Formats: sequence, C-alpha cells, structure tokens
Amino acid sequence: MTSGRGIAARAALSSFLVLGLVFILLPIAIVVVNSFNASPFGSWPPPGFSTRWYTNMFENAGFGDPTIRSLQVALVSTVASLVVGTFAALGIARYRFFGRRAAQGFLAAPLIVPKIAIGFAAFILFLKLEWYGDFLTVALTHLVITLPFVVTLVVAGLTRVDRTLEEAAMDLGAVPRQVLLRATLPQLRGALVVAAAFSFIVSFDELDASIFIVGQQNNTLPVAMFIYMEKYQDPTLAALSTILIGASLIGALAVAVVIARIGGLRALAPARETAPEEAA
Amino acid sequence: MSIAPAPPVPARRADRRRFEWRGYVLLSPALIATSFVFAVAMAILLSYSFREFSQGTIQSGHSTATWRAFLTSSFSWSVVGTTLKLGIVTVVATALVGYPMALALHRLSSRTLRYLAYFLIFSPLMTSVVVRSYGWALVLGDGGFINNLLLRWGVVDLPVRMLYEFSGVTIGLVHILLPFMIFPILSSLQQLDPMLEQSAADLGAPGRTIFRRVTLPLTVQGVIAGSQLVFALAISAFATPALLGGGRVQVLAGQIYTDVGGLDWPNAAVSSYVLLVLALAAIALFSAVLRAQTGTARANWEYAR
Repeated sequence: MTSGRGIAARAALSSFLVLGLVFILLPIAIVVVNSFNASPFGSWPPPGFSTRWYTNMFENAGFGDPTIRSLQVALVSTVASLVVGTFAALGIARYRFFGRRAAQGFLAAPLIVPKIAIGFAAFILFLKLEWYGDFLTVALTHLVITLPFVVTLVVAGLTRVDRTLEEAAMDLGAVPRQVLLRATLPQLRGALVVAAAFSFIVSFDELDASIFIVGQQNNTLPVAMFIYMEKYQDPTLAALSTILIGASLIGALAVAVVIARIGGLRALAPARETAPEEAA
Repeated sequence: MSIAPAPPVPARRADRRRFEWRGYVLLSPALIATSFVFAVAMAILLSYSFREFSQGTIQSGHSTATWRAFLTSSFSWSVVGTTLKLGIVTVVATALVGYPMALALHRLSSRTLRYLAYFLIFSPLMTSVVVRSYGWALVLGDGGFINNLLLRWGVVDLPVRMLYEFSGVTIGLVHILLPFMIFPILSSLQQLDPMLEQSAADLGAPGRTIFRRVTLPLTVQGVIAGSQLVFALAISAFATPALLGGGRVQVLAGQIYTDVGGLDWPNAAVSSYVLLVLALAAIALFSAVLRAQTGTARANWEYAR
C-alpha cells in the first residue's frame, strides 16, 4: 500500500476528513462570530462588531429563569435516573426471574418512540391529573427518557465488575448495603460518571418532549430558545449560544478526560465472557 | 437514542422457572415510572386517536373518523411522503459523508490527531439542537455565509435558496445525525481484523480491490446499524425541520406540534401513532437486513474455509 496510488488515496481520505470536520464546525463557528455582529439582522459579513447582544441577553431577553429551571430539571432527573437506573440494572444483571428480558425491553421502549409523541402523551396525562405545569412533571418525563441510557451503561458496567471483591466483602461480614456501597459501586465509577453526564446533557438539551409539558410560564431553556428563534432573528440567540457552546466544550473536555482515565470507550462496552461466535 | 445491542445474557432458560423477588423489587421503581409516564400516557394518546375534533372541540364518544380522514387525505400523505423522503435522503447523505470520515479516522496513525478528531466529531452532540439549527440558518440564509461567498466569487448571480427549503433541512439534519452514523461504522472498522486487509495486499490486490472486496463487505454492518439509528431519528426530528423549514417543509413531527396548538388532539394523536409505526417498521426492516447480511457474511466465511 505504499504505491503512489495508495498515497494519493490516503491523502484524498485525509482531506475528506478535514472537509468533514469543517462541515461539523462551520455552523458553530459562525454562531460564535455572529454573537459579536453589530447588525441586528445578523447580516454577513458583519458590518461591525459589538457586545450589545450579550448585554441584551442578560438584561432583557428573559433567558435567566429558563436557564435556572433547565439546570434544576437536569439535576433532579439525572440524580433520579442514576438511582432508579442503577437499581434496575442490578436487578437485570444479577437476578434470574420470569419476565426479566421483557422488563429490560420495556425500559428501553422510550428510545424507539418519537420524543414528540412521548411529550404529547405525557402532556395529556399531566393535564388529566391536574399536574400540568409542575416542575416535577418535567423531571419525571426526563427521567423516563434518560433511564434507557443509564440502564444500558450500568448493565454493561456490571459485567466488568469483579465479583470476587464482593464475595470477599461478604466473607468479611459486610451486609448487602455495605457490599453495594463499598465493593460494587466503586467499580462502576466509570459507567456511572458517563451515565450521569449523558443524562444531564440529554435533559438539559431536551426540546421535543418538553415543549408540550413545561407549561406557558415555566419554559426550560431549549423551549425558550426555540420560541425566541421562531419570533426574532437578532444575534441575542447567538450570544446565548456562544455561552452554551463554551459550557458544553468544558463539559465535553471533562467527559473526555474521565473516559481516558477509565481506559477508553472500550471500558464502557459489556465484557465478553466467551469469544465471539465468528472465532469459533 | 440507540438501538444498542442487548448485553450478553447467560442462562436465559433459567429465567422461566424463577421468581426471584429481589429482582422485581430492584426493577420496580424504573418499571413504575416508565409504565406511568410512558405506557399509560401512550395508551391515553391511543384512545384520543379514536376521538373526533369538530366545531372547535373534541367530541365525546369514540370512532375511527379521524383515522379515516387522515388515511384518505392527500395532505396527510404528502406530509408522510416528505417525512420519509427526509429520512431516506438524510441516511444516504450521512452514509456517504460518514463512511469516508470513519475510514480516515480509523487509519489516522497519530494518536493525538485521532483523539482530536474524535473530540471535534462528538462534542457538537453536547450543543443544543436549537443552537446548531440557528447556526445553519446563519450559514444558509439568502444573505448568509455561503451565499455571500458564492455571490462574491461570481458563482451565482442570485442567492441560492437553501434556508426554508428541503435542502436546508437536510443539511441541518445531516449535521446533527452524522455522529450517529460515524460511531457504528467506526466500531465495525475496529472489529475488522487488519490481517485480512494485509493478506489481500500481500496477494497483490490493489487498494481499490481490497476496499471493495474486503473492507467494505466486512463493515457494511456498521453502515446498516448507523442507517437504522439515523433514519429513526431523522423521521422523528422536530426542531430542525421547524426552524430550518420555516413552515415550508411539513413533516409529521411538525404537524403534531401544529395540531396540538390548534387543539386538534385527535389528529395529533393519529399523526403520533403513524410516526411511531413508521419508526417501528424502519427499525424492523433494518434489523432484518442486518440479520440477513450477518447470515450471508457467515455463510461466505464458512464457504471460504
């Protein structure tokens, strides 16, 4: 593969990758530049630069409350999802019982159903129960949406847990709760951190289901941004987006560091006890 | 989001006879939450699809009128058509862009560059879909970034309309769903035994033949798995078609939003279930293709031995 043709093919492939990365980064870069655009219509190229959209965002645009609400919803639903999901994963991975596979499939079902349908269905349910507009209904819906990810990641993580450590703990007289907290959970660290990050991001960015259930005065941030963008086109949204991009970059870096420390993405995959069938 | 492969489950048969109460207790919070917010809510939604909206209110009593009206309306079918077209075009585009990117990424010899590329590809997933759609509105608009370049270089005399068109929505969706195509392809490339490509090269096969006869057939499963994900997500996408389509690209998800706003819940319920059926059918179809493909690959392998 060291022929001239091979080198040309390799160069073509690499340039394609670079073009692909430009495609991925272009809209994000444009948003950042546009947040300093002096023109209120976001005209391009910017006729001048200004920071007034940042001022406008903080003072007038009304994104403050939605941001706080989104953070609260994401925090509550992530913690709930981690606890409920880890219990479910332990049930699935550690016990053999009738209906186990059906239960596992059922918990994954919200992945397949379009989120807009889940949101609309939940909206009718909460209206009937007269819970509509309550903060907890949004967190509860996000819990159900994020559970499949947590369960999948933790079930995969459990296949890598060294059972001898748990047995040793039991032999030394630890009660089941101590075994869980001291022997099992520390080994699940990586899976739990990634599951938490994933749930938080999914909840914080959730729009399709939330748009029906948040209630008119209680918008979460993505809903507020969606409604703002339908009405206005000025760069206030770019200023807000730039701050969110900055925050997500920091978040992405943090997750990347954690993944690297637990031994790469492979550490998240389920352990294989037997060789793949193809190798037989 | 993923239709992730189920983890290996040993001793499946033992499940049938046991009633291990601790398993049920551990699962119950998750099952209760999902039953309540998801299953019960979806059942209520189904019942609404058998109601009827007329004279500004939802009539009491059940009938199949809304279903019949949906299935006989040419407008509904055009919305279903646009939704499916968007799904198909997005799958083809993400595969055409994603495969070479995954291959280039896989062949990068520098570890640092590879991690940097991973980071650049996957970090946009953490940015809100609204932010990315807004970015594309700036890039694709009549006075936007691309048209500005095209006009300045004299490629076109009038701005090319992309924003509020099918093409703009497709570009936005490809951007958002590309990582979901790249990831499965990348993992199938990683499972590919490099010795196979090496042997083909040793036997004198040119690069193009190696790709066509060895690399591609052995990684097509990644493409199918990625297509399954991308298609299911593309047909259910709401924000991107709404923001980049500007009401001119009507898809089922947008129709549901409009109908709920207009209090026509029965029609929104029918659209929701039509969308769900399309997603389920697509997932079943791709799974069948994947199984058939795996079967063929195994048969070829056995034959070659």
